[in-house]
Amino acid sequence: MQSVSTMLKNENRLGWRLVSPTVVLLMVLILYPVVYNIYISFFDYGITRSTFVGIDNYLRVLKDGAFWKSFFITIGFTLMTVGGSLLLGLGVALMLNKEFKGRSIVRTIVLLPYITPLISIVFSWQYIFDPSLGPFVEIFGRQLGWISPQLDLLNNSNNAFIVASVFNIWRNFPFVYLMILSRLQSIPDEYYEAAEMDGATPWKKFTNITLPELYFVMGAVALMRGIWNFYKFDEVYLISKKAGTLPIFIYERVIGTTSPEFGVAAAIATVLMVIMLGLITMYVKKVLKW
Amino acid sequence: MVKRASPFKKALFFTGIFLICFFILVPFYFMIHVSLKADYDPNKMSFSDFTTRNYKEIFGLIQSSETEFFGDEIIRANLEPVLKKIAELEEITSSREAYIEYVHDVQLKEKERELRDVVDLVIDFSGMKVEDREVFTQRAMKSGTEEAVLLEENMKAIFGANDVKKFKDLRNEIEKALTDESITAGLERAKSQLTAYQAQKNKIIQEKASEFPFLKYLGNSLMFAGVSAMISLFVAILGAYAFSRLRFKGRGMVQRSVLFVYLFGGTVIMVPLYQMAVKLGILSSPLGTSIYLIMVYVIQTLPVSLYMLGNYFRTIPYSIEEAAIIDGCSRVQAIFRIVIPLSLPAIATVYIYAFMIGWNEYLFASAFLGLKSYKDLFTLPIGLSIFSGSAHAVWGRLMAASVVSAIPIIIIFSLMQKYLTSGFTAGGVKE
Repeated sequence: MQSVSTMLKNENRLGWRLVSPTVVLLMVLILYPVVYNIYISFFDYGITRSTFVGIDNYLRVLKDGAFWKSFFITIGFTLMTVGGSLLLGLGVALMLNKEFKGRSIVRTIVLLPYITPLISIVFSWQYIFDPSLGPFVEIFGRQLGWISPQLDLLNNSNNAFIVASVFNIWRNFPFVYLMILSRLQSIPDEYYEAAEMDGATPWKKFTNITLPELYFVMGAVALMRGIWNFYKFDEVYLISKKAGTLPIFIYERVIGTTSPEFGVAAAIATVLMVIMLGLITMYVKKVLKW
Repeated sequence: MVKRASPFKKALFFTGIFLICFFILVPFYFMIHVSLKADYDPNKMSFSDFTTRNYKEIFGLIQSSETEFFGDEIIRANLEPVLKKIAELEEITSSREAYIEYVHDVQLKEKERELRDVVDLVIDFSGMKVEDREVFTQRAMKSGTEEAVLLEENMKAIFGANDVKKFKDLRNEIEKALTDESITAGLERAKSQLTAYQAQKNKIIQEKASEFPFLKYLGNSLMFAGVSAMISLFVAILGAYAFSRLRFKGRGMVQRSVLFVYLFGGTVIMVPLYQMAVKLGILSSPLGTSIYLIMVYVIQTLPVSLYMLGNYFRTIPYSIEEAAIIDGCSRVQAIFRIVIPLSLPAIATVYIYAFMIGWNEYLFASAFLGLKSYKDLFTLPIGLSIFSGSAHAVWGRLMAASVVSAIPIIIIFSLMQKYLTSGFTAGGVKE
């Protein structure tokens, strides 16, 4: 018969053995790279040799107008996408929470943007906004005349991020919708019945019952989407290489160039990381309440 | 919930539903529509005939429609100068005598003419008094003669030092052109030129044959996403079991750091991950690159897998396991005999999620595979994205490839919708 203490010890040992692959992977491929990234950001990092330059990279980045432009585009992109997908997700969730004929089909359709592989759908979006063949310019430019027929939304660095935002909202609002819908379904019907007896209008019911119940999940989803969209690369870059958000800014400095500036890129990544850490800490404190 | 809905409200409601569906489905409509049209005519602004040739083409059933459409012209135009150059080089490198003859008859004459032009120029511009121009030129072109010295002095007055040096080099070359050494060296050079041109010719022909290797990209994507999801699933099953069932010191800390990574992104660690690979020399071999890429995918999918599986394991009653352990099962055996069979739907769901993350990934694939141009390892996202920017890009084929790569995922999803949507809300999905 084993004593309790040896059982606990065994459990402890087994626990660590089972999580050790996870821990090793986290250490080697996340923790070490993060530290290494900060290290690189203090060097003029070349392929053959590197020299210590202190905070020069940071100063260079902070003095760079292109960086600030990209920074504000990223903020704008994040705010637009979070706001847009939150509103659309909320609206769709409220509508699809009501019963009507064909609801299950609509519920499946709504999920399509989120589950379709990214690479399958980006070209369709590029085609829609293509300046010479695309239906967007064809309809609004050449037929209705609302916009200039020469408008190239995709390859213009001033407004490419708007198309990227619309695409991002289109792709990610189903995620918001699902989270809000599952919360909506758990609101007891009695609340609404009681309110009705008191003679509350539908709008009153919405602001006094539904919204307070959704407040928490909406905050959580907004933060989560904010964090993810802040460093979003694939969805933005594949729609337009000119969208110019910070991840693309970093990428262009390392991969898309013949003279990579690893030190500068690492410095930008560190700045990005600090902002993200702020958002994540907020998420952890407010949502997870550690 | 719509109780006393007025017809007006009802109409408004369904208009809203319709608009949402429209907004969602528009890109899908164009995806399918364009994939069914042939658009090889670069000047044709509208498409007319429906066709399935785009699909046949990406599966390699019909070949190189450009040849059909434009004729062989483009390829011929690209190939012709190369072929001409190859024929020339082959002739002169066939034997040493042939090469000497070529140097004597062609190369030397050209260079002499060039030298003569320079001498003429100097005479005209410096205003030298020359009695017999022809004799002077002849002698000035040989180094060491009186005339040559005179010419050089005049040249220094009107040309830069660099040009004077070039003149002397050219003169030296002509004088040494027929010596043994320079013939041998020249022959070597010509031969290496020939190999370079032949490689170029092969490249043009090959590119024509495989301008869009869709099936190869598809296979690579399946391999990378499939293997990394498998590894991630295995690691996550062990880890999630420990999180949900076992007490051990530091469990909370490990769990929290996993959640942290869940929110953390790829762009931030791209530079160090790339540098690590370069420093360790991993990127120099295709195998090393593949393994490294798979490991990077594993770490990206691991947090979701851990989170979702951990949530599911907690819903399995511990008493089932307990009974097995009392019957003499070890803890690890209990995982494989009890927990895994009981959570197969959840495991399938997690696998699909992990698979989709790998399937969609672009950043690291392009960083590791693109820079070294391991074309044979390209995944669908980078393959298609590079193809879309190339001269061979045609919307029809791109869209056909899009449809083909979307259909399996959409089918899997609709079959497993119940599990998958509950998975979304249980852990959210990292992308």
